[in-house]
Amino acid sequence: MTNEAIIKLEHVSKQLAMKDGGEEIVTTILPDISFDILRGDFTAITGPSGSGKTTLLYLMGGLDKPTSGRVILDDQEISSLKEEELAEMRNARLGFVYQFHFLLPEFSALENVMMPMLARGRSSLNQAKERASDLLDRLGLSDKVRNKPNQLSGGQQQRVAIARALANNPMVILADEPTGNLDSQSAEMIYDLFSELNRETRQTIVVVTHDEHFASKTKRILHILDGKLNSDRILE
Amino acid sequence: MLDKLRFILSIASRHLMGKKRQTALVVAGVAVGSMVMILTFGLAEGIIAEIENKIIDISPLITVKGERVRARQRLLLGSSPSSPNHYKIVSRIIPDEKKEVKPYTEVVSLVGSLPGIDAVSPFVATRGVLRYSTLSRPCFVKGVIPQREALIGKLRQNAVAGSLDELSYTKNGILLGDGLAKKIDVHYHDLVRFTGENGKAYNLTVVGTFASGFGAVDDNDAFVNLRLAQTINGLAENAVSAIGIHTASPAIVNRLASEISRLTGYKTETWEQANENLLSLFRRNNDITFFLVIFVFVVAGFGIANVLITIVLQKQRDIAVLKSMGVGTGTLEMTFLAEGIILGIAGAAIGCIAGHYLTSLISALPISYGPSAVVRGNHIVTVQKPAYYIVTTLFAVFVSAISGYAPAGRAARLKPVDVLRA
Ligand SMILES: Nc1ncnc2c1ncn2[C@@H]1O[C@H](COP(=O)(O)OP(=O)(O)OP(=O)(O)O)[C@@H](O)[C@H]1O
Ligand SMILES: [Mg+2]
Repeated sequence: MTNEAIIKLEHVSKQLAMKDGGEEIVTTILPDISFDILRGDFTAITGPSGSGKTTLLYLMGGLDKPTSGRVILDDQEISSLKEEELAEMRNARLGFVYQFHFLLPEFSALENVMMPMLARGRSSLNQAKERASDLLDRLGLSDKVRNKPNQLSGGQQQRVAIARALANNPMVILADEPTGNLDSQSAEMIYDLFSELNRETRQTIVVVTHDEHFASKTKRILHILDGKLNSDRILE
Repeated sequence: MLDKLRFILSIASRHLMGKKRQTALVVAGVAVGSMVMILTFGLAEGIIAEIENKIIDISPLITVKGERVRARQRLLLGSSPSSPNHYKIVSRIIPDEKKEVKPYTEVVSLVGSLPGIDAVSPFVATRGVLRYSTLSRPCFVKGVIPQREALIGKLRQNAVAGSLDELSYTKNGILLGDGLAKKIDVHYHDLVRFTGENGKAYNLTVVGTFASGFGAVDDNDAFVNLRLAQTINGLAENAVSAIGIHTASPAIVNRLASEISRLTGYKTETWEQANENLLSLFRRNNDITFFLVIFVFVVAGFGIANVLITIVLQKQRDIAVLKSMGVGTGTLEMTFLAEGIILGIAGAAIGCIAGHYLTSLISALPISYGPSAVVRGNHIVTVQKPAYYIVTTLFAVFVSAISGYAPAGRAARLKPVDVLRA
């Protein structure tokens, strides 16, 4: 494993301007934050509610742009990329898992997982089908491929969402409280899955979590407080 | 490319399938628009076709008129060409010149020798009042050589009572339009009194009536022998007011008309020019109807836009997720445009089929036009051409694409963060 940074945040700030009546109110969510995520790292981002964790994750994934500072993803500065280049980058190198599964309700589990592979014509229909069923198989969902999201349990839905994030074999997986809505047993299964992925495929994983137990299974914990890096702990 | 299309269509079709009832309603709207358009095409073109057919049936395709194209120039005031300060005043119109073709037999034989000419019939047009007992009617009277006129206007086939041939051996005979005959209540072999423009009255025997189906003709026209009309108009025996011509096919009418004019020096008029007012009235009427049909489509377009906006609003989160996984702005835009176009094509397909059957049904109905109709008949004439279906489908697709444009743009501009955070 190299010590090369795959994600770099350099003096990143994020402010939001809101209109309240005629007045414009500017809220600072992130005043000034810098850190690196190394290739192959498994990092947890923790912190109280409203501290700016989700904001940070979206910035790292190029879904949002910083007010100032630089976000560098795989040696490319996000602000300098055109929308289409950014879309291409997200498709090829990033996998998102959200707090809620956000699966497309009209499509089966299998089709949902195939979606990122077909989105930019990365794979043929057959290749996509094959890889999607492999992934679902690996996540213990081989008998649920034809189910629509509403025919799956919460844990199953979240596993399908993880399979979808893994579809294009991304370098980085960004997960926002993936176990937030799950019972402890389902949550446990997902911790194990992430650990396994990081160990076996050396995929870089950044996971936002409230869950101390989950955080303790990662290699590094970034603790955020009021949009600032409060502590950065490397675990054994 | 094909894969991308399949991707787009799979999402588009799932979205629409998720809104079956609304989709069905909108498709029905487009279908009604398309159906009405097909029907309108069929009826509007049907009316014109029927009028044109009737005109071709009963009137000459080309008329040689008693007006010279090459008038003899008459010098009114002249000066020597060497002094440029003087004008030369020339009249091309010779005031007292009668509107006549003279000697007409020359023109008839000249025209008759041209290839593509079927029939040539010289005639004298006049007007007068027809009276029978206490009833009287103004009418148009055409003096003709019956055998020749028969080849022009289907007069033989259109005869209701008596015949055209009887006119040829009845010197003071008159053949009346059936509407005209009814109005003055005369029958076969009645004696009517005709007062010409010259003020003289003639006693004429009704040798028959005809029904061309053209209201204006059947109510106002009558035929007499050429010689009688010449007498009424004070024309010489070798003069007629015009010559009617029938060509082998309507396609060569324009070419022949100018050729005849060039050869004879008389002005010619084609059946289209002669009936320009009537035809343009109907064409304008049709344009207005189409304008109204377009509004049906506009309403259908609003329906499409409404469904798509609902889908975009309901699917905001899905759109955001698709964007976050790298689905391009263009692809998303095309997805929603495709949804609009699917609605348009489905509606147009149903509408075209329904329009075809409705048009056929309407023309099969035994509906008769009243006696006041321009063209009389016992069913509604319609026309169906592949072009109508193509135009209708293209129009439906065009409207649906336009309607899908705004919702598609809205979907494409959506920022994933804004939706995923909410
Ligand atoms: N669209 C928005 N408009 C205004 N303020 C916002 C918006 N989104 C987030 N915020 C504010 O930014 C701050 C950080 O939000 P963020 O969602 O990043 O927190 P978080 O750490 O993920 O919290 P949680 O653990 O509850 O998910 C919060 O104070 C929130 O109120
Ligand atoms: Mg959050």
